[in-house]
Amino acid sequence: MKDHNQDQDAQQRAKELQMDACLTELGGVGPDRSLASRILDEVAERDRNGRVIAARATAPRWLIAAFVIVGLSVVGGIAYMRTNPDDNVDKGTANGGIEAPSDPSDQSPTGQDPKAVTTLICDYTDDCILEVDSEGKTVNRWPEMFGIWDASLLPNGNLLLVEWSTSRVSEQTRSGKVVWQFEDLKNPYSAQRLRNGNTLIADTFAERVIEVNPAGKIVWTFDKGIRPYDAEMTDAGTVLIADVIGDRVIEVDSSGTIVWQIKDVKTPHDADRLPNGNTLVTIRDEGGDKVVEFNREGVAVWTLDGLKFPSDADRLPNGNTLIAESGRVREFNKDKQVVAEIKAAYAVEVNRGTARLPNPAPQQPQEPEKPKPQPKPQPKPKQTYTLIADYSDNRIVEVDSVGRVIFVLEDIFGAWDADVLANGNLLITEFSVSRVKEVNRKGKVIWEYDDLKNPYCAQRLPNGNTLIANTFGSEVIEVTPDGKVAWRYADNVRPFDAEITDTGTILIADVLMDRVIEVNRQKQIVWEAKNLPNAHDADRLPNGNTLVTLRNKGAVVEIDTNGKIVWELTGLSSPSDADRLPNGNTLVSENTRVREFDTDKQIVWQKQMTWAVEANRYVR
Amino acid sequence: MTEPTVHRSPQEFVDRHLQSVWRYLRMHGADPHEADDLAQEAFVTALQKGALNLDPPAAQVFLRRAARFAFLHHLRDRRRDPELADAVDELWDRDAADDGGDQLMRGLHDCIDKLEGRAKQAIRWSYGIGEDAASSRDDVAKRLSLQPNGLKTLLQRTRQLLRNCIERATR
Repeated sequence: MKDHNQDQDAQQRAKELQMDACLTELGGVGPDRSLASRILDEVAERDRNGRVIAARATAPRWLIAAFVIVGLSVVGGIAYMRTNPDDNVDKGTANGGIEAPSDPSDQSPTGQDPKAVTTLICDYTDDCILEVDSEGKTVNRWPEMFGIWDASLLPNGNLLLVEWSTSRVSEQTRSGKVVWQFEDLKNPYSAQRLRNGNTLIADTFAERVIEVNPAGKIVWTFDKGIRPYDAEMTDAGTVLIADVIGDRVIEVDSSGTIVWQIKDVKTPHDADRLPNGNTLVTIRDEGGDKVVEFNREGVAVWTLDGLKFPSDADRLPNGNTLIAESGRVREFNKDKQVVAEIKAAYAVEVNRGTARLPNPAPQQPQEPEKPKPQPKPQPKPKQTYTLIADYSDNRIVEVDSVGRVIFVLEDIFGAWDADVLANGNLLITEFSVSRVKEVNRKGKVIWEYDDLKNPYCAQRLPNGNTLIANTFGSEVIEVTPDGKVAWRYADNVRPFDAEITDTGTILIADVLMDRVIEVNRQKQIVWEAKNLPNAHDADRLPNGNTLVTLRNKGAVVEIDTNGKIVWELTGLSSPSDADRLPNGNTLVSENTRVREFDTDKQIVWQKQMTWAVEANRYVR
Repeated sequence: MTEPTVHRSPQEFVDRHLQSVWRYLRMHGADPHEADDLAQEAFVTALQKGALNLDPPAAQVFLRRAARFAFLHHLRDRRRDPELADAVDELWDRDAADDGGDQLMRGLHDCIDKLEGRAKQAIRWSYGIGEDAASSRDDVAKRLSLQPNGLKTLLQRTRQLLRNCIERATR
């Protein structure tokens, strides 16, 4: 039974929230002016990509049916999408908590039952997982899977995912809820959930294979001179490892003894033990990429040549072989004829199943597309760190050059800005509780100022004062260490960012007038760039240009002194902050991640977050 | 004129429901930017799942479920408070479900009009209601010749007055 006082407390807080929401709305705070068009743009974009939007009269039955996805089960390696007849959006408001069944993305209003067969494809280049039905149509797409290299369906319907770029293995529901994850990894390539509930991981660039229990403890390790691109436990309890350092496939027992191996297989990407005891190996060899079935004596008994950058091969129950290659997934019969094909930018893994894929067009097989260059981990200085304000998680996170979390400061309420000060302390802006504070690494408050209204950023000035964008107070203020306001600019602005320039002027990103202004100490505007809607950040660059983050446009632009755009990054996800790094790259904080782009706009580093609103790179 | 039984287009769907979904998210505690992003997520989900074909009340329910899920999913486990979310939903069902909260807003506006003196000014200036732009707490306190703590107390009392007024009006 719920505690009565708790109920009353929740009701009281709900009333306060309701009142706050209503009052601020009466005060003119409403949905962003461009929100409706943003929604329609995104819907249109997805529609172009084959997602259902159309009215029922015009939508093909299979397309409507494809969205009746409420469960996914694995039966003998076959992935089926089934409807849940109980699903009906007209049931009323969901008070049943936050578990996956209440996720509308797992439901459809239509209530039809296609019983379609689906195939999961990891598309590494596009950072997504595709779910393709028996007609070859993409019925589901999970975006923002960073460097996805492996995805498998678990018996409970969840997905086990391996994200190479963010060095994470996670179990997620179909709606994206992370129910388990392990991140103490270095660019892993594969993972397998074991019968005992543990997870076997090819921790590739850490050069080890590990078994991790549900509590996140490593219970078994094999790290004897390997770089594993794949690892799987066999029915006999041994572990089969595709080792690219030794150009071999080895089978080790629980004591770490090699009990079987095949040598001289160039760059093996995948190795599967087949029911007949043979081993199917995916080989990338300059002399010819291929998939080979070896018997126990190491003799090749079946070879499929002519592949392009294959990463995974599965023998299906019907005897066919499903192969993930650059540009496509193909199914071959025993006679090595292509019986089906699905396009994908760069397929690196396809789930084990018996899904029959659509017949190839007459002109196929086509010359495969050249793979896009793979983002490789950029060598970073060893003492490079990135401090990230993770707004929705109410915390500040510091990660090292490979993205490992090395420091976390929790309970930062509405963390919107965080800087490392010269003394090593942190200057933190808490939007939700209207506070700027300096804390040491243990979280002890050294200084704070809270006569604010939802500030967005703060900067410690050379004179020891603190410059604050007091956003919803509609002012930029400079506060002395003893809490006095030494300077104020409040002339018709809503500042989302303010920073002092080398010449002592203040650069302000003003969302009220859709502009960036530079004001001097006499509060005169000495420079202004207009038509910059929802500018969340503005930084003066050493070359005199200004880097501006436009959140709603999903862009970062570098403008010159005349306001002309000389460089831009587009297609970003709600960016809030961008910094030009000393190496010329640009570090951008976006919804769900921080990414570093080089001058060619290629991603050279990224770290997934819940909602990164500010990131600062430091060298220590 | 009777309302159409289904939505004519995605544009009409968004126009019809955006304000109430956004308002619903704000009442759950989402800040304005969060409400923007989460409303976008809820609408895209709904349109992808064919909610365009639902009649408007059913579409509203679907959208609210999507928005609620998106909001709670957006929070980390330790910040999730299903009891609070349930309480917000109860209030929404009581006060706003029929019309997306429009009557509630009109009622609150009327209640503010009935306020007098410093209470009325404190609310109008603090929230930027009417012709006045929102001012900082400091400025409002100065304009009302109050200490900041005095303003805080005044605002608390006035919000309670408004709450009572709305509940009388909607009862």
